[in-house]
Amino acid sequence: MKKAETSPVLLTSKKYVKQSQIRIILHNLRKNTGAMIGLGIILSLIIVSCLSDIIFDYDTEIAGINIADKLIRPCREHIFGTDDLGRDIFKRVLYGAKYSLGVGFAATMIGMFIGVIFGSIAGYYCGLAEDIIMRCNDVLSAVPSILMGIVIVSALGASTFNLMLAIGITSVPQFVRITRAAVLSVRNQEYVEALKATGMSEARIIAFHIIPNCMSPIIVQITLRIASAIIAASSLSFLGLGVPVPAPEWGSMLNLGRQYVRTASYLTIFPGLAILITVLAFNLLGDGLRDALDPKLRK
Amino acid sequence: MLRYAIKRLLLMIPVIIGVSFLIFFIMDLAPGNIIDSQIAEEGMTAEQAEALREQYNLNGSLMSRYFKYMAGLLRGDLGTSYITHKPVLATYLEKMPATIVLAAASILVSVIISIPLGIYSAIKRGTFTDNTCMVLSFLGLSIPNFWLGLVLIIVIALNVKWIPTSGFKGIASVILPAITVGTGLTATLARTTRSSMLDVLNQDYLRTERAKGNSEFKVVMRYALVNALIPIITIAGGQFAACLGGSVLTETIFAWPGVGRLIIDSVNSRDVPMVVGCIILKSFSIGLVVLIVDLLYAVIDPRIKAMYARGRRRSK
Repeated sequence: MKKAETSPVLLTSKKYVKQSQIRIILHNLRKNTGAMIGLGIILSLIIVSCLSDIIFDYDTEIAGINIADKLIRPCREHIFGTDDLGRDIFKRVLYGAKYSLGVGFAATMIGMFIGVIFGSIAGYYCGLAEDIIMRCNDVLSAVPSILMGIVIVSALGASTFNLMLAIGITSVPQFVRITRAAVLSVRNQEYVEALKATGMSEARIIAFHIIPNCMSPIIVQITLRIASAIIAASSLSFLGLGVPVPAPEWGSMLNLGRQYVRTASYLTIFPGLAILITVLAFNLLGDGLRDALDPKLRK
Repeated sequence: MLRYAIKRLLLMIPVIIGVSFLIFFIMDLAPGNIIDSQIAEEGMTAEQAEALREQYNLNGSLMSRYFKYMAGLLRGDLGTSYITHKPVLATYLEKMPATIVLAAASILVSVIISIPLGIYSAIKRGTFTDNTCMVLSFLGLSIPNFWLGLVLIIVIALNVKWIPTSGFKGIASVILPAITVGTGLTATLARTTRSSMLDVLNQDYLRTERAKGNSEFKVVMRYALVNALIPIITIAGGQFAACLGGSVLTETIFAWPGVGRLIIDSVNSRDVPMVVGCIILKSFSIGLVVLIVDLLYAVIDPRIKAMYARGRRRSK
């Protein structure tokens, strides 16, 4: 009788042990409504960006000038209205997703790549290397990131690539700091010592064994950094230092709308809402990921 | 504590040197400079042009110009603007009051809204009110503040006539920029307050205070909040420091005559000494405010004060 009672428990606990880390994390993430909403929005934005070149014809529908239709208020034909050159705002907002997401992803990847390399070196080799890297990091983070972005883009010239580079560089310090902290917490564990004993090179240990074990804070940081990179990109474009016109970047659409703030406020409302929703989605997902990846919160 | 403050100030020197070199180097990447275009515009003779170049030290290499600049910096001379030919420091200080007013007003907005909201959320954890507050704070965190500024102009300023939408003219003109900057700060600060209060609320000493018959209000405000203050002050201090550097976008939208706009204008006109000088002053003022906040901990928390005292004894 007792045997029959204990066996189901044993079975389930065995099943639990078999679950991989990723499945546990996904399970935790699925319970978080906010994160799932964020993920849904991000996925649909990615689909829109991939399809935008197929759906819309850039030269006529997105950048084409049609003075006859200028400044039409939102109506059935143009649900978000049209701008001063007769371009449909709804189409431009949808097409603009490509720029914001692209710059956000690329800039964060640049920042992560540089940051993780230097952060892991600083964390693994304490001493002189760490001192030099961390002091350089202090210098980089002493300048507010928006200013740094402005200075870099204005020196190199306004283009999409320079925008990515500038925002990427400004997000390096965060990644250095987080990676270093994570590496410091694992570098003295037994498995690293065992790898050293097998004669594996230090570069290999860092790249294939230490960094994968530090991924969870980095993943959370990537998601949250994409959100702020999107805001930074649109801020710089708003100041005329980003994606060059006539590309429908949301920030530069807002810059245009600013001239018509009193007469045609719909030019300002919709691109801004698009930024807000995108950033919100990444923030929600990042917050959910942080909870899902945190072993302390797991039961 | 004084020793600690001096040590921190000294540690700022290498950072300032690094920042100045970095900005100097990046600005040097830009092709052409403003003096050349001034020379072309005003049709100067070769001697005049040479004299102007000599005055602004444009003939030397990057390093020689940098060292000359740093030598000036050591004497407290931040150089003169290429455009207005006025000293950088004086121009910066001229723009400072508007930025300080905006920074103080923004922090005021943020603190007044976020701390009560954060405390209330923490007490009512898991309820509908708490969830609503947290959703709102997420929204505040995600709003691009230059867009918020434009929306405020559309919604409020065009309907409420007595609120000006540009410039710094009296108290009413601070309202919109302060809300614009304050919203993002409010969101962050409310979240910090909530999580910091949650950490404290479950501790045993509060049960003791309740057992002593203190009212719940007194327990929360007098005993819990004080212990939750450190992270709140860290964040609020950091935000104030960041605001003191001037918020470029908000100042641009509201035509606010502050430091942020000075910097963006000088970047646009390639006024190198102005840009480098402003960024040095900005980084310095941020560092200084962060240091003051760190020293404030000792005032709030006797444990930290004791730590400073112990450190001094050991070093003696």
